[in-house]
Amino acid sequence: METRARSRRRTATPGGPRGFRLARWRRAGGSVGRGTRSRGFRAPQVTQECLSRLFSPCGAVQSVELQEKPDLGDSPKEPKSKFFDPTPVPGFQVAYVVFQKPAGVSAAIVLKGPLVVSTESHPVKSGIHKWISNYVDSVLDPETLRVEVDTFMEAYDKRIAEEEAKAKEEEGVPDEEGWVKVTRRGRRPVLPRTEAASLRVLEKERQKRARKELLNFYAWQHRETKMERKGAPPAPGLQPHFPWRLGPVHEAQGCCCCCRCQPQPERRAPRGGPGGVLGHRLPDRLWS
Amino acid sequence: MGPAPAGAQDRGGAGEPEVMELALEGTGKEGKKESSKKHTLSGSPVEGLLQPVKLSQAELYKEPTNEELNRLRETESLFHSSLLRLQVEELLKEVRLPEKKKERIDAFLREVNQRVLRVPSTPKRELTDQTWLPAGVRVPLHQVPYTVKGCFCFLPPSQVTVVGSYLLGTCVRPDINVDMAVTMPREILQDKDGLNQRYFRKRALYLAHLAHHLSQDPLFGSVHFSYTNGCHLKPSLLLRPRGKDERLVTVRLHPCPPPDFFRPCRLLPSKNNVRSAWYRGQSPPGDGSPEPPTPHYNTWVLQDMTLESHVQLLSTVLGSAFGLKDGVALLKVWLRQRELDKGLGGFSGFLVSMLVAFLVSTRKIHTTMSGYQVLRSALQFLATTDLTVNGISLCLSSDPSLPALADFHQAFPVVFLDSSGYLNLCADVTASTYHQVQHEARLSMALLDSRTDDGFQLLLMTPKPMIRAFDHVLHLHPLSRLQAACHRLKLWPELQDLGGDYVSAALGALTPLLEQGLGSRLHLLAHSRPPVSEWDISQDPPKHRDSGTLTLGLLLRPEGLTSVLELGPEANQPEAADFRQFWGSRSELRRFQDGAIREAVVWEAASMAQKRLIPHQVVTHLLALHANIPDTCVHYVGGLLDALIQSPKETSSTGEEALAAAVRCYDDLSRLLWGLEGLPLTVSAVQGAHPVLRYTEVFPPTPVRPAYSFYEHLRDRASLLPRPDKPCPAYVEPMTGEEPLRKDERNPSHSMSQSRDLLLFFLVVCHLEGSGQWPQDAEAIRRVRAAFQLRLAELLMQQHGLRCRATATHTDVLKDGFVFRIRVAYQREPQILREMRSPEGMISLRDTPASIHLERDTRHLPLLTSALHGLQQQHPAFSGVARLAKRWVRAQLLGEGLSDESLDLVVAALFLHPEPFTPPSSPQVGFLRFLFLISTFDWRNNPLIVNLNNELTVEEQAEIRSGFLAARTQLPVMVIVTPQDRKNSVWTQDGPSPQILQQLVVLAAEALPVLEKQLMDPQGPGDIRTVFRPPLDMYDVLIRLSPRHIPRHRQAVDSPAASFCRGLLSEPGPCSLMPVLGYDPPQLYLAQLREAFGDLALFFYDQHGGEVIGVLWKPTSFQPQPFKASNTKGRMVMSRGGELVMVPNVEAILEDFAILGEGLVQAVEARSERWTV
Repeated sequence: METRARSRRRTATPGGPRGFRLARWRRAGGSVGRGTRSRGFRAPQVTQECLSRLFSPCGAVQSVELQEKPDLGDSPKEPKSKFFDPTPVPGFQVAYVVFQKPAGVSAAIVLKGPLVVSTESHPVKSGIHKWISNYVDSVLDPETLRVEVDTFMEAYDKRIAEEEAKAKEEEGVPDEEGWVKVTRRGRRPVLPRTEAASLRVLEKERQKRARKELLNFYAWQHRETKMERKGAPPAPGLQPHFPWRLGPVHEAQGCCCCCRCQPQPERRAPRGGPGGVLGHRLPDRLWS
Repeated sequence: MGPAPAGAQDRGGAGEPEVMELALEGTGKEGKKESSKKHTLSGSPVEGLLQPVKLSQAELYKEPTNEELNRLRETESLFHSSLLRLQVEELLKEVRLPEKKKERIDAFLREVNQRVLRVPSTPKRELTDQTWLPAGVRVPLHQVPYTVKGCFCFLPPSQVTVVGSYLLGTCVRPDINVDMAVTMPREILQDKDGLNQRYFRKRALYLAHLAHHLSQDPLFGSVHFSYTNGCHLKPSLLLRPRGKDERLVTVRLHPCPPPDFFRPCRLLPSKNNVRSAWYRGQSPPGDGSPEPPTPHYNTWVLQDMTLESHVQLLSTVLGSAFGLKDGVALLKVWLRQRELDKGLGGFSGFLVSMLVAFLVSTRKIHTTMSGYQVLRSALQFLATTDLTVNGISLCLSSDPSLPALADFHQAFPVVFLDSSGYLNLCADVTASTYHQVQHEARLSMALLDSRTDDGFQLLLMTPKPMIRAFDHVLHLHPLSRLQAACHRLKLWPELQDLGGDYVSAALGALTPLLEQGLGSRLHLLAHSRPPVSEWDISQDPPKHRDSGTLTLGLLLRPEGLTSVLELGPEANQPEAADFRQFWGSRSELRRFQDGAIREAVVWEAASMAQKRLIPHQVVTHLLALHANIPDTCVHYVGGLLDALIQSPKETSSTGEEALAAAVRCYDDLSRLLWGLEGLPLTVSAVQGAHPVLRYTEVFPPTPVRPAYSFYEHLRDRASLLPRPDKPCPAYVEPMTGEEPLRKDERNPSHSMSQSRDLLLFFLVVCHLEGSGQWPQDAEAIRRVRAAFQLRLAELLMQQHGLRCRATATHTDVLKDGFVFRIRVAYQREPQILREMRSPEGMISLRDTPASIHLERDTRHLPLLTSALHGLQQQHPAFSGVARLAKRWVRAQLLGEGLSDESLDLVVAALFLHPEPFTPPSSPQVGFLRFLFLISTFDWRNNPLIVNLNNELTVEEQAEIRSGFLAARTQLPVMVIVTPQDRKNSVWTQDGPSPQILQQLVVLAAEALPVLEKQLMDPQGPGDIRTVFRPPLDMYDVLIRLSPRHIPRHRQAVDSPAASFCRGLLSEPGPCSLMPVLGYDPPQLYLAQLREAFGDLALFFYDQHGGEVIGVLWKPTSFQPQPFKASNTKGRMVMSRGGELVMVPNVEAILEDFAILGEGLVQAVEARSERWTV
């Protein structure tokens, strides 16, 4: 169960910088995960240093993590590049304060009173000062960028080369169950495994099947289609009961008396034996 | 007719034209939808969205009845489409007089007839002795000069007949008028009454006596005088019923002489019937020069004589032909929407009826034609014939005693003779009015032929007031000044003819003068017609100078506007003297390059804005020179809104030049990029993406020359940084250019000598091109791009000495004081971002936010920019309109909701689809039409199709519309379709929200009438910035900002008298350090606010120097929410009913507003108590 204690803002000593609010979260169970983490809720302007300073009376703070969303597990984050992952605009965040000892957590839970974020000795930048320092930080050194790109690409090239070498090695060599992996690079390249390609194949297959199926082969089939069509609506030119269908009469689209004017599917005599991959689907009566 | 959609029928009954418009739109759209395809919209029906009518199977497939089949056949042969037929029928139902009202009117007319016949007679008196008139009534005529021979006595009329459109059944609502001709008995009139206004005096006295007696009668709610068609020699009496029927009908009494009283041969246009000796009180000069003819005077007398014969003619022609009556009604609506039918010399409904009669007599129209066909034929006739050169006549007889058409052409500008052959029906119509009618007819014909648009809506339902139709408008005020002008122009014969109406007399002379002076700049000159005033019978008739103002509208020709030179004839030619005389002191002798020495006039205009206003100079100069009208009397409305897009320090230009300079600089840079040596890949294209490069940035960038002392220096990166102790430095926005890479086209010989990293990314790019395995790694591409950015910066620095700053995503280049942001793009990257690998290893393509974003930035935006750049070359006013529109939207604090590109496209639509107008040639008129479009467009049921470069065919547009209707619920509220973007409306995907759009529509609907009224006010527009000031009372919290840290403070709508130094040098100097880029504290602050409190409140701000941020709480966020860890932003826990809930902690949030913007925020004002929970 989670409860929440809201601290009210307290003005620091008169004349000094104003105290910032710090809403604090605590977990009844005490520790999360490693048993040394305490979770705090961050107002937009609080920094990591500030939090570790505020919680240091409860015990030695090992680290402070800021996250956008509460996150139960300890997910190790990849180190972010300051060039390629732009720092997001700070909003509300969640902080995990990791104490060196579990005692720190229990001390933090019972910590009372509002915590003053910005004091005279440790001012927290906000407003104009913050934006200017952000701007200064955004002017980066191109040399460092170059070095970072180089190291990344070298590692990348290496990895790619290794994978390629491995793929080449394995080509044509069956695994323990006897399967051979076929790649595009082989002597007989196969289709790429993309959605578009598979759709294309499926469509082709469907057409093939449709062509092979016989629709009006028997007299009863013929009769049935006729019956079905009788119940069907008349030609569209004769249904103008909408006021907006008063326009020119639609082109006559065939009659509704018989199926002769309809395009007929191509008739093909069934070949003996299973034809093609799936053969012709024939009604059972043929054999009876 | 089959069952109409239920909604349309319900709405159809309302009488107001506005309502009618909506109802019609409703039917139209529904019809279209159904004809496109039968489909059902998925999801729940959204309110207000038009849905197809659900019909049962039986209804759907019912056999058509005979009647329906007949109608189908008729529609096929008589109408353009069945939709049009429905629309026309609906419109006619609206404007027709219902039978019920007709009965009430008939009863009223019978009463009037009886009462008029019962008015008692008076004894005979001299005309000049008017003491017998009772005190409560004044003669409705200016009796100048007063003395006139003749006697008058009142006798009851010999006959009272109804004439005009009511009888024919072609009158249109609103304002139903019934004209009654009151025939004066022969005893009242004497011989020679046609001379010297005697007839008109008697007519006026007759009316005065009638008016006195009728005003005593309790039957009438009001008894007023007015002028017949604005002709001030011919008053008429207006009678309205008392009580609830007061607005039902107006009966107009026109006294007329007994038939055949005047001999028509005395009233030919060449005859004189107003003697100079009487009129001017002096004998004509003794040298025997003939008296000047009085064609207008004669016409007015003739008009009274032919009232009945005209109505007979019309009733025989229109008689039982319903199609013709429909056509006349449609034509009247058409004229009324264009404000052409009112006032003296208007193209009245009577004229079009006669025109239809003429077309019937010449067999251009057949009696079986439908209303639509009649409208079309009449417009076709108007568009293709020129009545100013070849007059037409209804007269069929070939009597040699009849006057020739040529005689009429001498006396009148437009000639259309009636069946008697003596009367010119178009006598009062000026050439300008006729040309305007012609112009409108031509536009309408083009519209009817084009098929693409909803022609009916644009033709008959869209009003075209003068201020919105003409590029520039000028008011002449006060009108008394025109009296002096008449003397200056020596217009005494005209005054004598027109009975002292100096406004009409001067107008006839001034319009040709201005037309000649404006020459190639002018497309069309139109003038307002003096409105027909009404006055109480106890008052004197209004004087000419009281008839409002004279407004002239100029439709400009954009290609002629750019020239500052008016080239005259060579100096030794005889025409040179005329030229000098015409232009006066402005004409000067100039020698030209080809050696010719010519007379010429040169106007002072440096910038595009000034060139657009050359017509102002021309008009004031010519009016002062020829008509003695000082420029204080000419109120020119053409560039009043320019002030809003002028940069704070530059008042002579509206920024087109500065934008062009920036574009030139960009062109130079792109040339440098093309020619850059040493890049491992060649540049395939350099495309601009910034609004500056399509001329739509509200305030164009100026070259920056930073004063170094104002900044911190970052030496090793050659950059300047802002200082906290100084005011915020000037805002420099980098212009983005895109530079897609092309495949390998390198020169192999030098690639080997590249350094390792170049070789590296060259290799990688090749991999990307050639292999199906690698491109899936977007991370690698980003690294490669970063390396390319670095290399680009290095090369530009080395080869051209440009200061550059490279980052992972872009390179900033400082060139000539402009900063460009170059982003390298790789055309397959969106594709790679789209690839997804399923668990089975299948690769499918799915749009991801990143790929959509990238594609928008690297593909759509450059395409749009180049298309709009092209549009600006075609229509020079595009830039001004787009910038005014953006300025207005941003000033209303809505700039964040609407993307720049969507506004640019809306403005582009004004130029590409101007119907029923012509493309605007001045920012002012364009802005008015922007407001009109925004406030009237039905965004819910229509996509705005912007047919850039005319790429979409009619069929494609229809397809887009049907696709839109099918997918309406998935599309954004505002859908803008371009040839490049036919389905998704990329520029409005992220906004506006329905609420913001609604607010925009409301604001535009409010602003348009206010602004139009201001611009049409002859006293001067007052404060033109009124409509640009946002209403602040709707916001819950106002955050006031300190001007010290607003870098664009001077751009505010109300420009501050003093602001802070922004660290710029005024004189040019070398600039080698990178200025502070994109540093705008209010924007940074807003971004923080939106990130932190975006789900609790909306933030509104004018980025052009706004001092206030408006905050609006979201009502939904104030609902108490269950307690959840992820739900705690800015909220506090409260116990409610034993349960813990979260509610916004407003006090703390307000405090946070102040803390986050420390230094920038002056005050946070909570204005409403709505947030209490």
